[in-house]
Amino acid sequence: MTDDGRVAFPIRWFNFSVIPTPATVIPTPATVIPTPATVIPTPLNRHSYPLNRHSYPLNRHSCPLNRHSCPLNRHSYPRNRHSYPLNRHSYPRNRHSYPRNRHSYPRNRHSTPSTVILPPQPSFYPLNRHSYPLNRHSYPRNRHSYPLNRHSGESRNPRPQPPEKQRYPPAEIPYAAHNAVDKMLLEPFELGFFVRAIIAASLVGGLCGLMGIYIVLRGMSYIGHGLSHAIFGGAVVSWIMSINFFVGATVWGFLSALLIAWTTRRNPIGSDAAIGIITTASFALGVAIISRGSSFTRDFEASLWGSVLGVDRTELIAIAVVAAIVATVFFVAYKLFLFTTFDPDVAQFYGVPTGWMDTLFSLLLAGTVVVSMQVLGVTMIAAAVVIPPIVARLLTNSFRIMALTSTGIGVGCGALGIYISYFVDVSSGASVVLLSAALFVLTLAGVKIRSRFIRAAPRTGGLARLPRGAGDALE
Amino acid sequence: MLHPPELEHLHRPDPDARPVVELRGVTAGYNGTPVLKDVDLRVMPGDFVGLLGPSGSGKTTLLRTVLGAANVLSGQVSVYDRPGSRRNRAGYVPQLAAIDWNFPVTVEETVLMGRTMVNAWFPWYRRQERQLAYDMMERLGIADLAKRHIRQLSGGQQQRVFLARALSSSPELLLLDEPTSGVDVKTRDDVMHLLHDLNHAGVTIILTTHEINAVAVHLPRIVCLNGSIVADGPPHRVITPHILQEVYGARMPVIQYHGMTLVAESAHFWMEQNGGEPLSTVADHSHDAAPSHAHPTPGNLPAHHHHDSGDIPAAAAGC
Repeated sequence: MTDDGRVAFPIRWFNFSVIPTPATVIPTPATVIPTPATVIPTPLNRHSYPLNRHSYPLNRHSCPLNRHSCPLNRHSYPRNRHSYPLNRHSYPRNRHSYPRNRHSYPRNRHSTPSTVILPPQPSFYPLNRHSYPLNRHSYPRNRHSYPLNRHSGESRNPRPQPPEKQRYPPAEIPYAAHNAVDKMLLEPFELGFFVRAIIAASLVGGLCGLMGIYIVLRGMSYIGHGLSHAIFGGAVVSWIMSINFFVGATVWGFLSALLIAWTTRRNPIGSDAAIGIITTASFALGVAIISRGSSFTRDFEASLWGSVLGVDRTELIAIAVVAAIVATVFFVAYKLFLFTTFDPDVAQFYGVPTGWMDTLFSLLLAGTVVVSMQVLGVTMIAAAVVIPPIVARLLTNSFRIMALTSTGIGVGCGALGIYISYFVDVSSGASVVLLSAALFVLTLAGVKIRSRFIRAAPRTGGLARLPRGAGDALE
Repeated sequence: MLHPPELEHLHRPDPDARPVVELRGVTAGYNGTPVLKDVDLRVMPGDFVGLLGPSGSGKTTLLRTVLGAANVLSGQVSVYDRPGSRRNRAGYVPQLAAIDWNFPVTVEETVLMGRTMVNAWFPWYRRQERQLAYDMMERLGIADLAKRHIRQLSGGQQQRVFLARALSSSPELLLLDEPTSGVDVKTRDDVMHLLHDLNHAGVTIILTTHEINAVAVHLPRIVCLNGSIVADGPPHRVITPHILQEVYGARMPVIQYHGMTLVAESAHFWMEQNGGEPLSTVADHSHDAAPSHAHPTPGNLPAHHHHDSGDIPAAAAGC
């Protein structure tokens, strides 16, 4: 360091004290481009004029060509979303405008090729969605109108129906006089819902008839009635837990049937009492849940009374599957089920797995009741289960023949009952049950008369002994 | 008399053979309550055993124990199995009273039930099985009733149907629960002779009975039960007043008459007449003529009675 306080540097001209002030700087040669006068003196702060992001030209408030300025930005007049011509909201081809939008009448993507295009009528002229002819909201063939759309038929949720005169057959279908009867008799088979109903009723009738033999012979005739009530509880629970109805209800019914079997076997409780206790409790559980829930969109009344005519494809498949399983099991395990039903104790001694047979029977029973309940209703199922076996029992003494007869009676009563209900116009479940009850009365009367006739016969030298079957089951 | 004591040696089973049924210290019952206590029993091939005892003495429980349906609380039950066969080859004939007579089965269907587990999961009976069942019905004399309902038969025929069902499973051991209860004298006689023939054909038979005079004394071996086994042996050794007192809890005079053992089951009236003492327990002739006409005394027996007919007039004792 020097004595005047400066730092001594080895290279002199780097010393700051030596560097001249700008005023004394030798003017730069001409090769140095002078800074423009407008730029140099102005400090470029955010309020200064030119060309910062806030400055006039091109700030967001300034005139020309920002996004708010007049011409041709996306908000500007021509072609903004509120302006007139030719944007996606503008008149021609906007979604509210007349021609060719998706709501308009002719040939939009919802219209059907088969739709008959009527000549425009002045009073209805613009064919908008409120106009008369043949759009999906118009009268004929809308979903609320009566005939022949996919919602028509006997609805699962009973709605106020059109007055009786407007129901099928519509008056405008003309019949030739000479084949009117033929047409009338075959007429129901032209209706999809009716064909489905008659198939479903036949299957369910046969199923109940076959299952009923074992039920009746085991002395648990009321299991059908009870179990359908129990399954009603199961249906509500599976609805609450949003499980598939068929799965939930079948599991519930299976558990109820197992519980009944278990209670009967292990305890000195008759099967009638066990059925009464368990199924009613299960039913009460369903009622309790329903009464707690404030709103139920599902209509449980339908399962009380059944809806043969409202059978849809899913239900038909379920019925067919259960019927096939039950028929197969009873065919294959015919001997085992016969012995188990006849004498469970002795069957066990002979090595028949009676416990497993009972479990299998409970499972089949639950499946049967679930699918039958959909068609016949909780209230009608008992008769469908009990009447065909009893009628068959009156007619024969052989188990094999009884099984076949009972199944046949079930099928016949199901199909014929539905067919009759079409003409008589009564509830189809009631029709089936009344028909089979009538069959029972006729058979009973026939057997009584026959046995009296034959018992009277020996005095006149006729048959000495009652023929097989006749009248024997009555005793 | 089917099995007179003179021929006892003929029925003595081979001691080297494996027993068909062997119970060792078995206590069995239902729901944990023992009915049978500490029972030891060996039944050899070819045996014809009658289980004798009052109601509730565990006769049926013993049968169910052999069949594996009772709750064995202690002890060991072994039932002879044919080698290569999984199942217990026992035929069982239930009491006729236990049958549901309204059930719609024909005789043929009932007899075929005995073949259920032979081809269990085959849907129908095969021809040779039907043939076997028909042969069995033929042998028992019910083949012409094959298409009848089981109710449209006489008592003896009904008994034969269920016997045929048991035999159609070709058992080596036949268990009968009260085969002679509720049938008339003629039927009882038929059934006993049938069982006798079967036994001679090599079938081991165990039956229960509560009829001493009508059934038990004609069997080669009697097991007296009253909760446990009281006595086991041929009738002339087992049927003694002492043992009967222990089994039935009542004093019953035993009479030997022409080599036949007879028990006066309803002897109260005689005993009252005799000052509370039973009649002489061993007597060839009944000199003390009983004043009762309802109970035929041995003295009333017809002279032409054959010992081996099994049709004993004194069978009124069974009632």
